[in-house]
Amino acid sequence: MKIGRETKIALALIVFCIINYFYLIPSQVIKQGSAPTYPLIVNTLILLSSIGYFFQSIFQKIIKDKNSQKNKSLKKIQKTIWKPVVLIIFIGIWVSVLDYVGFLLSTIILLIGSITLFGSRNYTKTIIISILFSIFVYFLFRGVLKTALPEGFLENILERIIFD
Amino acid sequence: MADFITNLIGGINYAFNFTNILGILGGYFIGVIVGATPGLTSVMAIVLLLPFTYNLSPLFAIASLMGCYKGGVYGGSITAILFNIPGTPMAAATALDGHPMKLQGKGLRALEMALFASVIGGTFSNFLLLFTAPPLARIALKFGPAEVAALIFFSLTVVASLMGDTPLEIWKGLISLGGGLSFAMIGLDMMTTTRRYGFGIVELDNGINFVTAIVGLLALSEVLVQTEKIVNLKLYNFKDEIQSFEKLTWRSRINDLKICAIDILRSSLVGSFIGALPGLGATTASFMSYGEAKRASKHPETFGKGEIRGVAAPEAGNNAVCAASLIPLVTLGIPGSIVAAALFGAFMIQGMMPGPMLMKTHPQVLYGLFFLMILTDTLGGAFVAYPFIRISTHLLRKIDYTVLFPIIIVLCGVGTYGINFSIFDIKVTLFLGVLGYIMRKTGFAVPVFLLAFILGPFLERNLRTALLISQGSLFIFLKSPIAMILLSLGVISLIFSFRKKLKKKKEVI
Repeated sequence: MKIGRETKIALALIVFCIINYFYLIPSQVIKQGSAPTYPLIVNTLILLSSIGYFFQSIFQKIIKDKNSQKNKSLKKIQKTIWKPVVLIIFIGIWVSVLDYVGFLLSTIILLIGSITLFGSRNYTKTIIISILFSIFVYFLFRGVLKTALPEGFLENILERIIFD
Repeated sequence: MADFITNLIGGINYAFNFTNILGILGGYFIGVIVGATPGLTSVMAIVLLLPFTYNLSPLFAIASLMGCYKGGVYGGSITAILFNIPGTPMAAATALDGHPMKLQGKGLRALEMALFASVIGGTFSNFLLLFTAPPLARIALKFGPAEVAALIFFSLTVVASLMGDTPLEIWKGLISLGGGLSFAMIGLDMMTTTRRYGFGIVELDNGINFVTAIVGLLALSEVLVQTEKIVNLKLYNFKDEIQSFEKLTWRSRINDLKICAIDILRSSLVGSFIGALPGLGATTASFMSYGEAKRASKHPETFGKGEIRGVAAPEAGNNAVCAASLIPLVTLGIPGSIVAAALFGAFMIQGMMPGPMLMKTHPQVLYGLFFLMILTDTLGGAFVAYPFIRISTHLLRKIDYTVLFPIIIVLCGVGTYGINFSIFDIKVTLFLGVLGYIMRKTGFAVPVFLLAFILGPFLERNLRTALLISQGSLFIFLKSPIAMILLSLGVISLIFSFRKKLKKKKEVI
């Protein structure tokens, strides 16, 4: 019998609960000196719900129908999921380099990349908006909210021009 | 009664100033724009504004956010009526009759009735909040740790059971609930101050900040979901011709109000009742109000074809939810909806713990807030929404989603950075954004997760305190009639939901 997507998720959750019981709670709770009662109660709730989810998914009468449409839906997922994945990578890179290159440069690059990813092909408009918005946010935080953002060489230049 | 009047007068004195009025109008304006923009919701606007309220005064911050919420609830009806594209899910019922009215050349009549109904519905529930909150808070003050733990359990189970349409979704709701409670455990144990689930990361000692969680799970995950739909979003670059609106007289407006008066009143009651219950929300209220108006009508066949009552009813209903949804929050400290959870965060940022004690410790702030909320509907409607109606078509055509969503990403990042000036918080936001995205794709309820995350520490503290008092015995819950009733209601609501949805599934098959 083919295992449906819901059943696989339920099984993964059950495995996670078992790992939580036998590894995570002992190492991350008990070993740290904390009482395990509440974490055990919560984990039991998740485990019981996952078991219920597992059996419910198996008893679903439409699993066979879903399998027959599986190829169609898989292609659809492959078509659309790459954009969120690329966006997540962009954001991850932005977060990683923020401290090193500063807010302005990293945000300008993030905005150019993500606006292009979202489908804009007017590159002049994209670059102008990216630069203006990044500078706007920088001044909003630095000038109005008096809050520092990660600094790089662009921020130092602006500081010297405007605030000194 | 004397206390109530004294506190109310004190609150009015405290709140009534130009800055606060500006705050609620500003929030309302942002809410209307965001609500009118398909793909964005007032919840997202509140969540994005939340980190920026740290440095603002409590009343200004919370009143602005409330204004944003109310503006957003109305704003969704604008695009629903003009373009048959509800700006928010709660405006979907408004589109059923609103758009046909627009096609019949009665677009302005529909937009204005939506506004009038929203103002009346919102004002009704504002007064309900004002008069019910104090007595409910007095009752809640008598709750001990066992009762509070039982109440939180009841709220979470009701929300989890109501969120799903099928038994499978209820199981997923319970798993989301457990997930939220688990994430709330990350950090130092509140009683022993030892680490839990820290994985050696020192930054996790203080746990995950709730603003970070709200921004990541709601705003960032929404952007990731919208990224997939970017092809469809291009349809929202409204290609319709700009039509001039029909001319209306005040006599015709008053006539319309007379026609819709009973529906507006009924819908205000329905919306207020639904808003006060955890888990249901404005979308349910708007459809129920529409359904009731149609059922009560002498000519139900006119609904769906441009019936003005079909616009008034859902708009009064969905706006009546706004203030009513604060009732469990300010009286019991339990957010019963995602917006209430975001406002819970706003209170916490200001150093105020929502709940019965808030009425004792900060009565001026609370009564001042109630007063400002009454002003929000009338002033926001008159000075923001009413003029906005005229320019809405021109403005909404210019929205460029390819720029809007990347901007939201940056705002998510800098907003969470500003909490502790830590890049780690942005990383957590990204992680939770991805988690929220995966949850949405696999059908797990993010709102339940988030509510459990926010209420988890309170549930744990009260549960453990109750067990300490009873020296580990669970009979403390059986000895308290209130706790027993609440626990039983929680279990009954789950069983009832399962049965109802199983029965519905069998009928479909």
